[in-house]
Amino acid sequence: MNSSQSLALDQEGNDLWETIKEIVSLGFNQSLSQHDRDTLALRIFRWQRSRCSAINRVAMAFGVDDQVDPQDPLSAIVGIPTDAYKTSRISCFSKEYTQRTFYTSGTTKEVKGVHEFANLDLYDQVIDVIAKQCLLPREGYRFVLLAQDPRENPHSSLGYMLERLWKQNTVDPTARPGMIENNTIAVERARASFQRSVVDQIPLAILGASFGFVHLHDALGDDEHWKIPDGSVIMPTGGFKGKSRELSSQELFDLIAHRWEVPRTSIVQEYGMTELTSHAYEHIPNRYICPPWMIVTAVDPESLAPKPLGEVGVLRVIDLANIGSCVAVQTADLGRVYADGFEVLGRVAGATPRGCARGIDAVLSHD
Amino acid sequence: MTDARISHILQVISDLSQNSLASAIDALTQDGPMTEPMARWALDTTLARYSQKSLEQIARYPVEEFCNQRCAVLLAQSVAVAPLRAIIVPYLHGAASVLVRASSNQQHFVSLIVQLFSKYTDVVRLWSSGSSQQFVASLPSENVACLVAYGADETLEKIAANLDRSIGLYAHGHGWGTIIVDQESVQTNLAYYANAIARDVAHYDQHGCLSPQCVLLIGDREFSLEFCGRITQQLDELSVILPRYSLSMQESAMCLQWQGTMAARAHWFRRGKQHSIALLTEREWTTSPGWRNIPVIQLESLDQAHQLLAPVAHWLTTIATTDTLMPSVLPQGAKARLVPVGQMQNPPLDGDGYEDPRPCYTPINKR
Repeated sequence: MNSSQSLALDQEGNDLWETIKEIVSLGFNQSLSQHDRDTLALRIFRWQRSRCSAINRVAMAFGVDDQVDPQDPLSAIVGIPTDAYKTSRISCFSKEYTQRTFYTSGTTKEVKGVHEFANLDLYDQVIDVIAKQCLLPREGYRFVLLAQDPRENPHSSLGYMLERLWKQNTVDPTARPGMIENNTIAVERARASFQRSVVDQIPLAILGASFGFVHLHDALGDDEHWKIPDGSVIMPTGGFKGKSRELSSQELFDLIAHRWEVPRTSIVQEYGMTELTSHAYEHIPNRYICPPWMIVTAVDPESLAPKPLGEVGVLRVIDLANIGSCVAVQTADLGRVYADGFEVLGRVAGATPRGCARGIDAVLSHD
Repeated sequence: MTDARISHILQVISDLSQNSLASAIDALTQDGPMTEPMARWALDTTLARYSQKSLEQIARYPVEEFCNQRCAVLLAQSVAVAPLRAIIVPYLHGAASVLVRASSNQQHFVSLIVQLFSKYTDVVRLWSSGSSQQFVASLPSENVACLVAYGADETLEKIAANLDRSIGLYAHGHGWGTIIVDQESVQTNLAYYANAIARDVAHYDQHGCLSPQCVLLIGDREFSLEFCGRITQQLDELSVILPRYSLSMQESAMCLQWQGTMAARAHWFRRGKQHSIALLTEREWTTSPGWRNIPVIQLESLDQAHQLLAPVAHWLTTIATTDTLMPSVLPQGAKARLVPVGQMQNPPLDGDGYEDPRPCYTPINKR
């Protein structure tokens, strides 16, 4: 273990860290039982409550007590809302040990959520293991990345993840896969990448932010399209965040299918967020599958009780790899959970208070 | 003419409180968002304001723009009883006709009011032929001289930009209210003030632009904790007497995000049966998603309250306060009405029925 990491956490934290790394290393085909997984989640949550006063306050506020139903360990866990990452430090180690900080995306006026890491080894391991199973199963790909270069934006978890995916899976480490430079699309280099892939039939991985796909599409000519090789994969993720015109999911898929002549099954959406370590990928259209150490539940937002399978609730994510912050994150996404994965229905509209919108802007922009 | 109109108005009021009471309650609960007890309370308090004496008092100060002119009223989604005043005021001031377009989401109560007026006069008419934009565009053909419009700032600006130049505009924008109280006054009667603040929060579930978005409490930490505890008790009691509207999944999810965020950062937080309250000690303006979620910001002086309100003073419609603070509570730049705590939802009826004294919304006469 990295020495900084071992200092950042106490003995229990380091034990948990090693346990989770072992679980992640076993990948998707492992025998981690639901009970063991849930018991471990509770152990992590209790440890985090002892290390982060904000997590403890939320647990107390929502009535989580120490009387746990042994048949349902998850009932003693409450998710930290994603919005809380904007106003409270959700970290289980001293700030002096922070090695990397990721911020949520948004406009310059908006307060951003913060997720600090004392060590990125587990983060890297999670990226690699999940991608090999769900996104990039082949030996090597050419890459086109539609996100800001981490050197331009070191605080983007998406940029970090995409660069990692490229480094671990590229056939050409000398290539420049990033196609967004200084907030513009490097359209000529993108064209060259598509053409090269068509010629040498090495599968292409076009990964990036949804708004990046829109900008690329708008920069290309109407008649430009490529029949990219079989085995290629296209991964749009996240919303448009005001950085491009908005498209519906179907419009985005149609745009992708037109440009690169791929079936819907070659488009693999990712569900992740800055506040988490792990993420999920589609295994069939709009049905996401989690790694064994991640649990997505649709909860009733008033009672916090899990909804039965197939019913709409607000998604709560338990991510055992999220050791440095909070194992449970309460999202603002509506969705349904099924036996074979979960479905995302959309983000709850922003909690703008009723009243003068301009007054809200004044509040949000006032320091 | 005025005597006849006062008589008509009083007959409509009487109908609403007696023969058409059930229809009125039904209409309000359909328009929402209101429970039946809230609808009954809203009707009782609203109708009680219209008496022979109060109407004569209003009529004593004629408004030229209405007298003998054809007027239009464009309503926006707001507290469901608001249309009553919006229709009565121009009618009382002698409008030759009052053409009303209801909000698409709140049509039932307006339809009932117009129907009741039609028993006594043909001056008040309902326009239901299309969108609000089509309504505004039709006004010249209706020979309308004056438009009373309710809505968000952006909506009102668009209306002002597109309105025929021959038509005067009374614009009522959205805004928000706040409560400012001092320990010295409050501790003379803790129960009274806790109840009054709880009522201001609970009335219309913080839905209207007269509702408090936060409470600024000038006092020490110990007192603030005690007082917040009392307020939460009162809000719990009100959840039985005046239950909150049943929230949608999206609304609940927004509240959950706010509550968890507050729980993480607040000095003290309680999640009650149908409310939440957070005591904050950092001097930062904090808004609320409404639905009886109230931040209480502890301050040391009225100066601190003024500094906190300075960026948003322009949008303040109402400040509820104590007798002690009343003479000096108004922040610079604010034109809010000042009322005793517990009276926020009791705006004046005089003149245009200004409940919004902010300078940007003074009447724009014919241009």
